[in-house]
Amino acid sequence: MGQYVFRRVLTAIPTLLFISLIIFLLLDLAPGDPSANLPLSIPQEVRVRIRESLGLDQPVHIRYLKWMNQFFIVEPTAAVEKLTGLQIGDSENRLRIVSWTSRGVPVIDLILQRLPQTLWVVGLSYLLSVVIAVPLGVLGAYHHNRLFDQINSVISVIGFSLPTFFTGLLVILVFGVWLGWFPTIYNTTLVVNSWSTFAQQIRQLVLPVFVLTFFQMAAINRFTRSAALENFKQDYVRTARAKGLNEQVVVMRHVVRNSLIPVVTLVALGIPGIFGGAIITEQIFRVNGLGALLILAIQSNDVPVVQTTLFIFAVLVVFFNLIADVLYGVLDPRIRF
Amino acid sequence: MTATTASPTLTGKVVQRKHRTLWGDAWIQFRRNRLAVFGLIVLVALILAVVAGPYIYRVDPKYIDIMASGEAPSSAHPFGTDDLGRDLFARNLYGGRISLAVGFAAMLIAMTFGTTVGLLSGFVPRLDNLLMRFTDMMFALPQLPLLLVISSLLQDTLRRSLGQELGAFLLVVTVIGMFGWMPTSRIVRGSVLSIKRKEYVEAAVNVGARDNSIMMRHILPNVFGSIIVAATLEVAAAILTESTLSFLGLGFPSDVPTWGRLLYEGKDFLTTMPWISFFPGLLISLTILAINFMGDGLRDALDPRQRQ
Repeated sequence: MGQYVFRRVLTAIPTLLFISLIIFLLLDLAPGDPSANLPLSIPQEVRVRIRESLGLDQPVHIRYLKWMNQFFIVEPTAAVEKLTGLQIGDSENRLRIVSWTSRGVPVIDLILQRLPQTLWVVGLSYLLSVVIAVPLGVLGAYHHNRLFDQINSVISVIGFSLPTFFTGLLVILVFGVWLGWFPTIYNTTLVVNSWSTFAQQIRQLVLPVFVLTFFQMAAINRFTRSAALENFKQDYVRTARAKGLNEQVVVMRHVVRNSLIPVVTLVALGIPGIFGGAIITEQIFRVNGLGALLILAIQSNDVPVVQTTLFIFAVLVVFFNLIADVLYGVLDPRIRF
Repeated sequence: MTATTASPTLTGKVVQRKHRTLWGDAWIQFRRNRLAVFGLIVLVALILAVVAGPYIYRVDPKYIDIMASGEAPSSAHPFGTDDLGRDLFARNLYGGRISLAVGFAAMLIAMTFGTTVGLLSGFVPRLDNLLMRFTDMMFALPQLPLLLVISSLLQDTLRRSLGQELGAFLLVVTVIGMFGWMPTSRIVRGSVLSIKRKEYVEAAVNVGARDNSIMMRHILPNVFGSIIVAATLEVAAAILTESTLSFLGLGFPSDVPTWGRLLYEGKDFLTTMPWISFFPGLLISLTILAINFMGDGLRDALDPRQRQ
């Protein structure tokens, strides 16, 4: 097992290198120049100096290596320093990855500012969708082809067919504008320090969380249903029933536990995707999160922020793929490495 | 042995039985699924509407009539008008053409590429490891964020060299296609690997058939079912991705009214003119829903192993 995890981690490294190369080259070779947006009154030699100071006059592979050095060595050291208060080396003159638009602010700090909002909305909705969708999927399989199952299946197809930008606008229109029950804009500056602000926080979470949950639930629901259906057909379920075990034990112990193995992997695999998917929800409800940061950076041509956010998304994908693979092995004793 | 459609009975009379084909069987199976048939009907109706609609409903989607701005749906303007007084029914019909065209074109790219990679890695053991590693890596890319970045980086250049509409169309289609082929290549590879060991392929090898003809004659037709299912779902995914890009303002330029673009333009008028966003949103949802229902039906009909 340990050996398998080790090998799996080793294969993740080339994947990450490949992705970092793609992200770097994409932004590097793409048309567009960071000095293009500067005022025309800046003289040519100053423009050249600006490009030099950004390190743009060096060859591609040197810049890639420098970027890698910043990303994997400089930034983590800075993070460790910040957490522990220790001083490692020359921390004053360290070359951090700095945003081009918000002068002098390290990109990591920007991201850390935005992360809590994203985690609140995305994390809560993902948690809720797992909690709701798994029982629904099992029930659907239990009542296979009966009315409940049919309604449940149709609703889940509807759930992942309706784009979140449409359901988002619909719920804003109905619950925000017409009924006026919930705020339509997520207020990021709200500080939760009393019951009333807590209630406000919950109220403003309702719509975005509902939209995301409805969408994410669908896939988990369908997947759980098909996994449980497979298990209900197994011989050991018939044996369990023949032994006279009551239905609850048969379902919970023999079916649900076995069906959860693929579901856990799916849930782990889905986590990075929800950060990407939340980009839309964040735009609709004006949540000031990670996705909003990416969109803003794209619009203002802020290459370091785009590179870093993209790479963090990629690291999340690779990391949760790894988690999913390892979990699969841990949970399913039939899988041997 | 020759395939017989007639068999002699005890009385010596020859009973004609209806010839049954794979596709005929699939059709019978497909028809049993009411939701899938519903999906097929809706999809065909939508395609007919956007293809033939502009010839019947002859209103210019780009005509600005500022006197008629912001009108609610009525008999004169079935979907209402937008803030500039443009007729939204005409715009939705025209936008539907582009949205559906993007869906199908991106699907074709994804399928061609995915099938090629899948066939090669299933059939040529030397390439298998390399190609599958590549597929895994493509899977590990953060798709939506990368799509956003690529289209924002390249859109200006392409539009300048190829023109507003064509440039945006090619960019969106290629980018969506390049990120959509991986599931297909895995499915195809899996099917090829299992079919390769079947007796009839062995027989073909033994009679001296060349690799090429084995691949085209014996393997490809048998993977076709799974490819069609994947293709159907890919159309829905591509339409969804295009409208997401346009909704974030990064797909088509403002004078090309795709469904996603219309929705994006209407979101700022949500309180005063909700119909601007509502109808394109409804059409996108209806299309994707119809295709997904159809995909489920097709899966049951063509690919019984994956039946849910």
